Amino acid sequence: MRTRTRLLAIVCFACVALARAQEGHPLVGTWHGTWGPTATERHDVTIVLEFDGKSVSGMLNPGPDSIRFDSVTLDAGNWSVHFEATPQRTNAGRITIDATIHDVTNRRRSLVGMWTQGSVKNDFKVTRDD
Amino acid sequence: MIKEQIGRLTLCAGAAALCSLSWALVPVLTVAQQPPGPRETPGPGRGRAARGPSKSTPRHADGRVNLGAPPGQRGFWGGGGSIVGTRGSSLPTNRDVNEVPFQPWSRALYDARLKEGERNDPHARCLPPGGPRQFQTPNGFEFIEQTDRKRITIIFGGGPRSWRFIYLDGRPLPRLDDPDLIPTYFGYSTGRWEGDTLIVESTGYNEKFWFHRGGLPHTDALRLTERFSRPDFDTLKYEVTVDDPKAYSRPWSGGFTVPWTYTNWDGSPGGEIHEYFCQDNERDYSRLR
Repeated sequence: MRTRTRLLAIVCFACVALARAQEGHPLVGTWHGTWGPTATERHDVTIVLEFDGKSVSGMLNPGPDSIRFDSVTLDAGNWSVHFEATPQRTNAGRITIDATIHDVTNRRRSLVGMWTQGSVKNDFKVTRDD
Repeated sequence: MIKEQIGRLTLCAGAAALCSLSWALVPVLTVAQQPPGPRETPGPGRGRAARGPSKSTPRHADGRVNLGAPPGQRGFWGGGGSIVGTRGSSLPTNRDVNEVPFQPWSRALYDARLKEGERNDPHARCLPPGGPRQFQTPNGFEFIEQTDRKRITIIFGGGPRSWRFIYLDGRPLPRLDDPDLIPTYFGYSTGRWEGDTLIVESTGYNEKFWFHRGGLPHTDALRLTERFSRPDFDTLKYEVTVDDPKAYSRPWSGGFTVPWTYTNWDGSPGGEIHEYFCQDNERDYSRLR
């Protein structure tokens, strides 16, 4: 029951973020894409982000295995973004993502960079939902 | 002989095609050649009457200012200027863009939009613009005062030919934390008259548009206080206070004036907003820089 409630809350959160965000803060919204070590070995990823006027918060992969970001920092000078997250259910190691917003004025902008988990580095790209 | 004529015809056709192409490119070049910065919208200025002293502000029988055409007359409002800078019809009290209290992200995004022009402007894809942008759009606008319904409807001739309601019945604005609130392009507006000025408070905006030409950023926390006045027959004075704590560190204000238009858009007699749909006429989006 508790899990179901949590899942419902997460889905609602994702829907609200998706419905509201377009041309405001460039990170806000829902982003879809992949990360992985090679062009063929890829992992799907969904990122949902919100902005409260001071800081950006959000999660990886909304659902039962979602992971909330410990921190999200944006450098608007060069549109670089640093994410940190700690998986709770696995021993996969801390996740850090260093990415840059590409085509920032476009509603279908992308975050492109590096996904690091433990000592393994992977390339990473997600595109914002329209 | 026939070959010569075919040759001449081909030459003429080629010249005509080049000529047409150059005209077709004029709007694109105009957009591209304008310097970065909040641009004035000339509006249907061609429809203005010969310059001269303006008539006095029209009023209803009860003495209240009439924001529309007096009975038996026609006309509408053209496009306005910018709420930053003092060029054109912008108010001389406006602040320079460098004095706008941007948050770092909103300043950087605004600069990026100015650099890229209208390439990613939602309005170029015919989405409706809320906020001051609605009064900067060519093809003009008109106030329809509906006293029986205690509301004012503003109809817009530009963009996707849309309209906006301002309620004067004293209803409260929606709360931004109301889970049932559906953010919209024009927000939710309530108004009241203070002397000769119509004061309108609005909130509940979505983030799907640029609220000002050039791309001043906003968020769903945007709250606008607009002040409409008509200092003389030919002039609408528009002032707005922008309060969006997610995008700006403090509220700030600006405004512009809008000219009354006596003729149709093309200068012919009439003073009526003509039928125009952005979706039907849009040809430039794919070529915008």
